[in-house]
Amino acid sequence: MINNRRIHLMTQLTRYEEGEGSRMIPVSRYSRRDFIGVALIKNFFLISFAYVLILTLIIGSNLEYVIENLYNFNYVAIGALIIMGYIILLGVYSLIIYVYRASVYRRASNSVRNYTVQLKNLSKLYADEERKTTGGRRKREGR
Amino acid sequence: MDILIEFKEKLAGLYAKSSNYLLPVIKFAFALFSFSCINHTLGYFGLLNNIFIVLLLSLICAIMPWTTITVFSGLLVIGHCFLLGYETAGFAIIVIMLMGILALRFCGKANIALVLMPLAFGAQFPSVIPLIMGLVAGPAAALAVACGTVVYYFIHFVSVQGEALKFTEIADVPAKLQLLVTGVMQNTEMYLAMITCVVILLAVYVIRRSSTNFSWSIAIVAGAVIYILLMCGGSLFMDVSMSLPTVLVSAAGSCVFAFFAKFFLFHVDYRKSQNIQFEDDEYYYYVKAVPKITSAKTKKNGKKRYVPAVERAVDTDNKNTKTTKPLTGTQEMPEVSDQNPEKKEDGFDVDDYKKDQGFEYVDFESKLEDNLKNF
Repeated sequence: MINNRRIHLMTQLTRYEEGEGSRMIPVSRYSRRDFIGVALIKNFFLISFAYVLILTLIIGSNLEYVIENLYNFNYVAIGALIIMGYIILLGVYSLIIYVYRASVYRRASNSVRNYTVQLKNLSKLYADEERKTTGGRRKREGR
Repeated sequence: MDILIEFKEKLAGLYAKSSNYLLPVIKFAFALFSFSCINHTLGYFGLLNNIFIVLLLSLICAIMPWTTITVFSGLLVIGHCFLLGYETAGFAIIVIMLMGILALRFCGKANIALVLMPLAFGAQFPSVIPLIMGLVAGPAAALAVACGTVVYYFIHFVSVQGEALKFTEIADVPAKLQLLVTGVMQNTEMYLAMITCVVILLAVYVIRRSSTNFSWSIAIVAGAVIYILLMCGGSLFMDVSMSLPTVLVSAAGSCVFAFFAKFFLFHVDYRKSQNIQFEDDEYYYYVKAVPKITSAKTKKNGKKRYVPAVERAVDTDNKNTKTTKPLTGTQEMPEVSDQNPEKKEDGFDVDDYKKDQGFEYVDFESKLEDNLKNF
């Protein structure tokens, strides 16, 4: 027989899975540490690439000056400056990513909590129905 | 006013009913318009100017997420720059990639401001996007608005300096790169516009989030005033040439657009607002409830907004449930009582429902009982 309560629950669960849940459920499958860690590693590569692009832009826009003074530069000072700039950029962005991803994870956990409760309710409904159909005797499989 | 509210409700109902078809059409129209504007402004690459290519790209955008329009717009700009020379295209690629890595990955759906900002600048209403984004989006949208400003000034510079940037000899490459960097990155007007737009967005966001009465209206007016003040101040202190009447007309026009958006998004009656105070074991709650303005006809009929077919079918079947809550929050569910769903007292009209869905309402329970009796 059609169980209205179960249909209602399943509809709500499907709506969540196809809407907000499609973004939140994959996030909640990670542990907090892994979720933020993966983002930080990705950020490291992206920022390194962006820094190379920034350097290319700076060198490209001053190409004439660079070619003219190629043998006159103090490469140690320039190298130190470049490394310092890189560390500052990476540090700032890593901090931003940490805060951002932590907030995303918190939001996802809160959002999925309600979904999990409803899933448990659904599972309970199935168990109740099974108990009714077997006349109070619960099948114990695998024992 | 009641006619306008009724019109708004009809539009909302129509959108809710046929959003599956309307949304791709809206996306297609918007993509077509923005791609045509890019081609009209730059238009160096003949193949990209071809209407079939534009239609094809717009069609792809119609079935893809909104971000696709941003990506294709960026690719179109790079494509046109290639015809001017590799250095211009390279510069465009670097600028767009830097924006993507450093800013746009935090913006989410607000990325669309990257396309909207150049369009707003082209229409001489640059403050309209930060005003509306401040009303509907979060502070992260400020990054997209800032990037959109850079894109507009880049496109404008390339369209104006197109002839000077055209590739001639390899020896000219450093000079052209210098010209691009000076023209785009050292443009004081661009920085003024960028700072103004970001300040407007943040100010509008902060004010409209406050619980003050008429916060949305105050936010819009404050945004327009900030725009006028910053542009005038910038033109005085940053040596940027600016026409005061243009700024005033632009601010007024943006205000009108923003109030129009407010009418659709946040139309409430502050005179009937209620301040409620209560407490539990852990907190004191100070709640302000402001009723939405609905048309007289809706109030009289007591009809609720459209609810998806599956939800309503389930709710009407589910007689044990007293009330239901929507999960996504945007659609209101009809209250369900123990009464027969055929009755109109709870605001749910079965005739309308049948008409909407195109199939007869079937009472499965009674049918099942009849079948069992016959059996």
